[in-house]
Amino acid sequence: MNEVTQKEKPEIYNEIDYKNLGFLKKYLTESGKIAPRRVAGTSAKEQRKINKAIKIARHLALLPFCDNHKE
Amino acid sequence: MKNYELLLMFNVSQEESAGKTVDKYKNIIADKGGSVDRYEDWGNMKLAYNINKNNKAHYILMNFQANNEILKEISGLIKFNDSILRHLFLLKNKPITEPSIMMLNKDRT
Repeated sequence: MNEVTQKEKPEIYNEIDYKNLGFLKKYLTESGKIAPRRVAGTSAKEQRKINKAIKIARHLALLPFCDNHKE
Repeated sequence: MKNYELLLMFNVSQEESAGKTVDKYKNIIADKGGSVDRYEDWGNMKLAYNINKNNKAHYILMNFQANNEILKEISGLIKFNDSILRHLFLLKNKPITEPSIMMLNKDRT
């Protein structure tokens, strides 16, 4: 009876990572902005984690900030 | 001991120094009692936008166990290394040894 029941995390949380570019690109608009929750259809918790991952990837130049970066 | 992830972006024009620099960091970790769990060389990749007029960079990913002393020494060295464009330290809650998704995609192509 003392067993602690743990909620199983959905698989999406394992996929959220700044290295997983194919996954993160689904949550960007055409111009490279982060899609809002009402468009992306994510939960608040997912959106927080995705935002953080995208911002890290942008810092490392893996994802763009916008669609007209200077050449 | 804590688990850290380090990503380094090297300038492509000073690539010879990249290998030496990484070896130096590995030696520091080994000497002071840490260990390297994962080491990946992603090679030269195109950047999403130019950094200091560079459109390419050499990416290297490392996961290692280290204490505060090692981390301070390495981050001090990175600060004064001109061939490193950008870097990132992340704290992880467990050691990671399996190849990253970036490496898996590279094998497929």
